[in-house]
Amino acid sequence: MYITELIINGLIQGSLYALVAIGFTMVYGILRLINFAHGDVIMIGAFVTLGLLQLNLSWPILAILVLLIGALVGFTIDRIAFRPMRGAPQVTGFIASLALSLLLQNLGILIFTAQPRNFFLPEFFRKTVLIASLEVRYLSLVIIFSTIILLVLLLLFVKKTRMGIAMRATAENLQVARLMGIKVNHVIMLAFIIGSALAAFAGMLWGGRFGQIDPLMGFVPGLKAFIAAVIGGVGSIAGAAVGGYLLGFSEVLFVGLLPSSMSGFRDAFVFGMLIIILLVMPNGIFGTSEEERA
Amino acid sequence: MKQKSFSIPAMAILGILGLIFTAVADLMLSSYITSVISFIFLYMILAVSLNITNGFTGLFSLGHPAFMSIGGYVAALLILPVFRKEFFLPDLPPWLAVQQWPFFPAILVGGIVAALVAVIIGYPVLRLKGHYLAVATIGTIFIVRVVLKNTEELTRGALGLNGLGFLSSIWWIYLWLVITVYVAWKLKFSSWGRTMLALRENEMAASCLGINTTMVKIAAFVIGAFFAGISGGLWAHLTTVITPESYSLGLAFNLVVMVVIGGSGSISGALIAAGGISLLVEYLRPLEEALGMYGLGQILISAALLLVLIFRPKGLFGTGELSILRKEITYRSAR
Amino acid sequence: MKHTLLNVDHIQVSIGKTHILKDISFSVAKGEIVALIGANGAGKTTTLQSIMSLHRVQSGAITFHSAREASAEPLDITHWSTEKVVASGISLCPEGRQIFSSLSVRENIIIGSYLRRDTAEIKEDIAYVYDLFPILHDRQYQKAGNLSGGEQMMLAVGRAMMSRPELLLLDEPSLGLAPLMVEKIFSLIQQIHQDGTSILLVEQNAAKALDIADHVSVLEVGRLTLQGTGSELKHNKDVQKAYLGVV
Repeated sequence: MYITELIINGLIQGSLYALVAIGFTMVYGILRLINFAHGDVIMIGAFVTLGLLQLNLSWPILAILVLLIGALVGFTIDRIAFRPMRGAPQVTGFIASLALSLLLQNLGILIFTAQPRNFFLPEFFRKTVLIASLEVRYLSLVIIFSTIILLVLLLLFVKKTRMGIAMRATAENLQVARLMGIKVNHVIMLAFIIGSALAAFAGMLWGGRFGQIDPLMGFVPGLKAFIAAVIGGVGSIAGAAVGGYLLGFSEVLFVGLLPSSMSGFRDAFVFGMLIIILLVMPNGIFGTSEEERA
Repeated sequence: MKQKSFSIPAMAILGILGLIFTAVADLMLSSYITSVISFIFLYMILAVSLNITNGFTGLFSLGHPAFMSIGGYVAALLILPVFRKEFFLPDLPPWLAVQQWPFFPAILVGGIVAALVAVIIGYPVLRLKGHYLAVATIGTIFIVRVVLKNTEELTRGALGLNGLGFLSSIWWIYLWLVITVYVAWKLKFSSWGRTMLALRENEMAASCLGINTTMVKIAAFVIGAFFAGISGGLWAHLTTVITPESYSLGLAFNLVVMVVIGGSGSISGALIAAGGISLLVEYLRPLEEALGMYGLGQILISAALLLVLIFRPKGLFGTGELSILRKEITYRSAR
Repeated sequence: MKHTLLNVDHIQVSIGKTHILKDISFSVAKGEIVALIGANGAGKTTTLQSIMSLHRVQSGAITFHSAREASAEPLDITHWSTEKVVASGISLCPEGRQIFSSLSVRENIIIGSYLRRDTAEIKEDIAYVYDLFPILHDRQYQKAGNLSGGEQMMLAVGRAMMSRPELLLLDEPSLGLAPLMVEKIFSLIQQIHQDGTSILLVEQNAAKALDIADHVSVLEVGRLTLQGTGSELKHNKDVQKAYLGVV
């Protein structure tokens, strides 16, 4: 039964990482930009949800609103911070995203103070169901299944639709994509919009899972989601999802199976894994980029 | 062949002015203002040393806080009086528990240990490039933090060490500032410095010229880490406290801002930017408390950087230096 | 009087600090094949890329007068965005083929029709491309990166044709291809031309270019030094020495 619990926790954590990793990978695939502010969109999603909860909406409407607001945040970030910097060297964009991340975090502190706040999703989510003699919250199932559904929808979009093919073409060769008549700025904007919507959605779920939110909550998860994207191969959406689940499981198993004195080293383990992957397998599992990394 | 360098008279004058300023601060101004100036000097040390790694050599390192932590903890452990060690850290290994060092050597050892760690980390990590190197160095901050939190016998874990001696007088800090600037100056205008710059501009071309790029990169990384370790020790004994969270990514970011705004590769630029920005941060601190608007300073710095990156990405000085300080060196041509 | 499709008028283009095109003027009339030949670095690719607005034109003008809208004014496309140029009826098959390796053959062809909405005609055009290049049909679901050089060239041309351009720009179609494949490609280019597309061709392989072109210009270090019909230039002593390997 303990194993069942570990598996379910792994799926939950993995789903959360996957949702965020997808946003990193989509933007990176097209712009070769690591957007550090992406993690903070999780925080924005969580706080927006906190506000919306006051309105007593039915939860599908709540979820859709969070997705839409996340999309809006993504649009704004692209328009204001990154579009003016198109064509700048790689490191510039990175520093800018770091600046944006700190800006968002400190705005959060300014507005909400650094104190953690309690966060409870509607009653519905706290009901439980019995799975393999384990009590599992509805929330956990929602996290897992909504992630899978969103993932499938996104993959279908990217594989089958005209815009999806355009996004993949732009990610491979931006210049030639323009020769097809593709408006690459729109494609980039779409990547930001989709990625941020998913991150905000993850923020809503994250708050529900852990019961507490604060303005700095997004940074470390964001960093880890980036690591997940690297594991799966930056630029690959399926890779980001796989990476997310691998990371989620690794974390849960690390803490669950090793003696408790080692638990504190979980994060060191995750970051150590990043460095090793970057050195040993820089293209991750599905990546095909020939970019110079090392 | 001509090359610009710092003119010795100009630098000497600057050094003496600094000395006079320090004396005035120590003797005549309030201890609060003196400590503010101490912090500004510390930021200058950090910015100039980061410039050696990031600016001269083009290695995008965000790892300074990790090395500050290492240097700070090592120095603190060496300096902490034995009876204090018994109280705080009862499980300390015996050979360490009996140590009680004076200030200067302890700080120095802190820097050296940080440098050694940099060598170990540097070999694998410096093979990465661009933003991947940056992310790996961020990882280093977290790894160091986690290790510090979880080796309670040595570090008292998350509680950290407080009640450290207030030993970092403004004179000590000024001394180290002079040393750092001197090292950076000599480095920049030497053949090592030119090699570093060549590496920054085009690593592949540099290695084709026979330059041992690994050595140069590690050297730049280690020198930067050494001074970061020193600063960590100085900082810990200015604030009298050190915890695993003391030196964060936010600090690393602010240092990068100083280097970027001052112009990567410019020593005087780094000094001016560091001075200006840290002055702003320290000035805003009481304001933030009064208005209850915490985080305002960081917001302003971040916004300022974004604007600079959009409109003036080369910073104030690029690779050059402030003209008053410059002089031309003429090289005799080889025959 | 032939309808002038494209008119390039005294353009100057610099990339960074390098002044690549110093003074280029030529035109392409409807139904023509025009070729630009010249050595490496002369500026041939830059010329085509500038027409597509991939580089900024510093001075001079490029006008395009679509034959479909012959009554309207010629459009000044000098500073149009790339997407707009493509939408107006010009398509570039870039140097080195540059097909999307991670997309399937079929997806590459489809993305060429990105700007079009007429689904039925798009289907017809896909069939046309498969007619021209049967091997692409056989391999339509494979990743484009797995094709041979010659097959990728065919794909690149097919892709460029999918926007139904009035004017097709071809950047060094023979580059890196075996002689037999070069023959094939050039006969396909002539077929496309006969089916109604005007062509502006840039080539290092001067012999083949002179064979099929109606008009040829020689580009040397950013300037056009010689202009004439294909056969005129073929018999020109200087061209023979410099570009045709005749001693």
